[in-house]
Amino acid sequence: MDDDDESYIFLGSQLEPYDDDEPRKKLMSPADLQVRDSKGRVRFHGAFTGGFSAGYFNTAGSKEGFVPTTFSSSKKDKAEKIRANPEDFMDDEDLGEHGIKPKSFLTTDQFSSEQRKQVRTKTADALSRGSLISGEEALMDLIIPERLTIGVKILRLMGWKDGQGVGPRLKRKKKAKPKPGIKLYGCALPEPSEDEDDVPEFLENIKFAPKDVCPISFQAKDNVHGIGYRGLDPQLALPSTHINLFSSNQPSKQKSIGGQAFGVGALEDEDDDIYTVDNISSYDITMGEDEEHLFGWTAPSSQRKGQHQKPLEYVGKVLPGFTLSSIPLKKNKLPEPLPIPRNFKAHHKFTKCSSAGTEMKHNAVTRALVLGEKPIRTQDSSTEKLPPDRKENSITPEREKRRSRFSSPKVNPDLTTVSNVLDGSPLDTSSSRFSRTASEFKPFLKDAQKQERYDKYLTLVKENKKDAYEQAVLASGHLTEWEQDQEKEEFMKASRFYRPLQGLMASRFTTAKFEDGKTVPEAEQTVVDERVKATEMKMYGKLTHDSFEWHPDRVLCKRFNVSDPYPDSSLVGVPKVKHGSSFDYMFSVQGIEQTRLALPPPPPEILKEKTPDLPVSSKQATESQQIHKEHPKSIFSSLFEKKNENQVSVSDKVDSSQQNESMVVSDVNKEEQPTEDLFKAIFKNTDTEDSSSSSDDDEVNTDKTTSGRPERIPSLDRIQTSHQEVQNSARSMSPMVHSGNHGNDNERVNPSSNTDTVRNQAASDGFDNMNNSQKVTSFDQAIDSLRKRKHKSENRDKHKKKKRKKEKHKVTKHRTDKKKKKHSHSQSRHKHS
Amino acid sequence: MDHVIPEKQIAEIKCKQGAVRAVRFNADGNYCLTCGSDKSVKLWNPSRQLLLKTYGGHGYEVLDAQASSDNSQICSGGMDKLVVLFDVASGNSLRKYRGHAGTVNCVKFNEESTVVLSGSIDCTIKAWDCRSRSTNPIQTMDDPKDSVTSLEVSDHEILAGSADGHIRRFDLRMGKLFVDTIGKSVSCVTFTRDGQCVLVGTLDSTLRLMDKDTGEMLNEYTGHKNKDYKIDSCLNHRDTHILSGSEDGCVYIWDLVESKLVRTLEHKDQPVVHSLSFHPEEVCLLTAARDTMYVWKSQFAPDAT
Repeated sequence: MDDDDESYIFLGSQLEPYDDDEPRKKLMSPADLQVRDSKGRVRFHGAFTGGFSAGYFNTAGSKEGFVPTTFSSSKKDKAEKIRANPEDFMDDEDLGEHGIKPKSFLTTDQFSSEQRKQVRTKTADALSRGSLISGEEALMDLIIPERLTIGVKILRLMGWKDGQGVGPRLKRKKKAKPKPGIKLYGCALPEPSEDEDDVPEFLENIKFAPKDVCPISFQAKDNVHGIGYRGLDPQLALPSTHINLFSSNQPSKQKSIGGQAFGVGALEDEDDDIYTVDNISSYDITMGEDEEHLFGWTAPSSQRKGQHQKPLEYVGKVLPGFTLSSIPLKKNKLPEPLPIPRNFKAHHKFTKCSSAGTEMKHNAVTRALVLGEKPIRTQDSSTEKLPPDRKENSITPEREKRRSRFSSPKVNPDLTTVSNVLDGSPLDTSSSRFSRTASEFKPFLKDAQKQERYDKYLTLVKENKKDAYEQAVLASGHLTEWEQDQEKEEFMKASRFYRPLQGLMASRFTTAKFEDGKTVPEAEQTVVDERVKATEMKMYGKLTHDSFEWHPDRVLCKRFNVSDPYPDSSLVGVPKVKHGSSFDYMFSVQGIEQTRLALPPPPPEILKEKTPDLPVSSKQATESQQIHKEHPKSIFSSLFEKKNENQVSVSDKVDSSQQNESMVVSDVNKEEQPTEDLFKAIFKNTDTEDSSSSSDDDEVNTDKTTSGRPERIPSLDRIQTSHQEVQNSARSMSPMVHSGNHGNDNERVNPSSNTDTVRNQAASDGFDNMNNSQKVTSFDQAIDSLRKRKHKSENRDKHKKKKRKKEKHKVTKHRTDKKKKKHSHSQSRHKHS
Repeated sequence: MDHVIPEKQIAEIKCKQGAVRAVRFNADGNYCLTCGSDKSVKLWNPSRQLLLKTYGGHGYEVLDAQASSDNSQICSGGMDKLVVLFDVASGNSLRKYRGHAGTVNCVKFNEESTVVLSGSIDCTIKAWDCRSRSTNPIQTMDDPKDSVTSLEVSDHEILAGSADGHIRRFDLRMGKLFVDTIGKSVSCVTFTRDGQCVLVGTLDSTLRLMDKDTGEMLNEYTGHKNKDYKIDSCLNHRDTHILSGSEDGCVYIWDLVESKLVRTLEHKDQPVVHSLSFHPEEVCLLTAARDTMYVWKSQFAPDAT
């Protein structure tokens, strides 16, 4: 080993021999390392163990921590005025070498080499400005700073002196001038300075240290300003102290205390001095360049010797770091301007537009097409939604025959607007799910040929053909010109008016198949009757079993875990339009009611009231009855008739559906009793829950209805109030249509009158509020009971005078009864609600 | 034979909720619901005659109710035109479906209890989604021409009886609506437990057993009285007998095949037995008359303690 020691040089300290048996030391993660101060004390603690420099050992000199001195003063010992210095709050670390206030001697920044350099440049500036040499600065150099950077120390050891450049010494030699033939690219080389050019001969053999070169700091251009742009220096332009404009432009050397009272934060900019004084010195009054912008750039200034003056045409500053090129740029050669033809005139004369023929007069549709708007779906275009099978179904040969049988020349297309109005839909609503198409409305059913023409017309209109009518007529073509004109107008109106019913109403109404006033052929009833007959004969089976296509909602299918049977169809419900379904039902119900007659007869007291021969004493009722007998199909026939008279006025007002409605409603208002009766019957129904079970109460009730009609019965005025209400009322009416219709054949005794007896019994039993069962409720029954009540009231009118006194008493009684009834849950409510 | 007939009255429970409009077993038959005219629905343990909970939330008489298949919810409908979905445990009403224009006569859950179907006097059947927050019905079936009196739901069918004398079967799987004309106002429709037939009660005091697919009448059961009220009818748990309430205070029991009246269960001092429900697995019948609920079991069953 000793030999080895001789032959090797060891650098650094030897590692300790590695022992395999020793357990390896775990590497400490940086987090586990502890920070200790010079005395080996832990200085940082976790937040829960005292935080920064906390605890007995670190800061406060006692276990209890920092104890403030208590103030005590007595006659003998006056309390001294304690003046705390900052040092009192500093610990030895703060006073140490790296602390805030070191106590040991150190070179201040002022004398560190870096600082000195700045000082030197400052003095250089002062000298160049020709100012007096300030003694302070000159003396500054005399003090040798204690501490030099290691680089400077090394350089000095190597023989470098301040002010010299770094590098081997050089002889001064003449620089070869660049050969004239060689072209140089890029930036122009610095021009050889004059003093370099002629070196005195005696210096030729002497080596000089290279010149000190100030480093050029190339600042990266990190802004978007133009090259050489400098923002206005507010300190230059707006000095904060007052300077006499006419005094010398040398700023006074006297230092004054100025600035703001409060410090400016590190992140804040100093506010601009608003009390500014303009200084003439800040204005550039010389024509030439100022040299101050060179910033230590050692490239020779262009101005030296005045060799390369700025070309005269060049206006503006030469950017720092740039020199003007000696070689002027060649001007780009522009091609010669084209020769102007001789006959050229500078003014343009517009020739008159020759394309008058191509100019189109736009209507709303074509304009929309040109503009690329979505065409508004008109009722005409809705025909395209008609499934083909329905088209075929709608005109069966049988019906065709029937139609011709009842054909009449005069057709009024405006009639159907009533249905629109009742529906309550504005004219231009787009078709909904339930909507039917316009072509299902056959306004000219009575004239098959005309209807055919109308259908054709619709399809042609749908195809956007202008002369739709002419083409439609062309096929048949045996009409006079006058007739054609008339018909054309009619078709146009019809296509505009015939709109499908929507929503609930659609399923409740149907278009009239027969003209009003005609008797309905028996054949119509037979289909339904057959079913009822079959049930009577207990021949259930094929006859009574019908199946229809039914589209369940997609969500419903999902909830039932069933795949959608019609995945492509967006339709919901039974797609087949219920042509006259409700009316079909009416007949079927008639059948039912007839069979009901076979039931055991109701108690005699009701029979008395409802004897078939006894006419309903109410005048209104008889009238309505007559009307219904005459027009068994359409309960709105009276409305329609009225419409006939008002045809012109309505058609004038078709533009606004709202107006139209109000028109019709007012017509309804003008209507005679039958319609009102109908409405009354309907609306009264909703009020019938008040009808009590005891006959006494009944009396009072009916009296109330007759005397206080305005409040009791929702008057027609109310219907008129708003569009919405019309719809509502129509809605509430809808399920009643049939019952209202068949309810008027009074010769039938309705077995549902049994309910009254039962009810009465219950009442007499005193078991009013404990009605034990639930009625099968139907509207026919409700209507019937209504009728009964009305009848009763009529009878009672006769005895009114007699009873008047008695009744007064009863009214009060009734009121109390009513209160009770509100709590009780009478059967009648259940029945009528 | 007699052990399948519940002929022994086990208990008589005063429900104290006014008139009991309907009584319904839950899906497994351990509990039952009664709908009262005092706007409440009550949950009972019928075997122990225990009232478990009362559900309020209706504004008027409750006419029908059903418990969901997982017993977590109750749907009910009543004269306040509402269909209400109750949470069984908390008793709160989870949803109130407004949309019917009139009294809701009948409510039914679908098989998974995700949809409530309700039939109303406004001639519509509405399907309400229990899953979504939507207050609008998923679908409205407005085909009936008169009040919908009774509903029945199978896994893919909705059966509705209406006062217009038709029964309508909406088959979701086939996408078809089958309409059978019965001729008389229908008060109650019930699927047989095998799902092949439909028991139809009508206001002419007749029950008819109809073949579901062809619409043929298989059997007819008469003897009871049903002319005015909505009287329930049902089958027993094995489809061997047919039971119906009556307006003479009895429950009539017929043999299904022979259509022979087997027994009548008399309810003392009761004019009408209008609602009844048969246990899904055992011989146990619940009937409702006036303000009382009756529990009937096989004659060999022990007396209630």
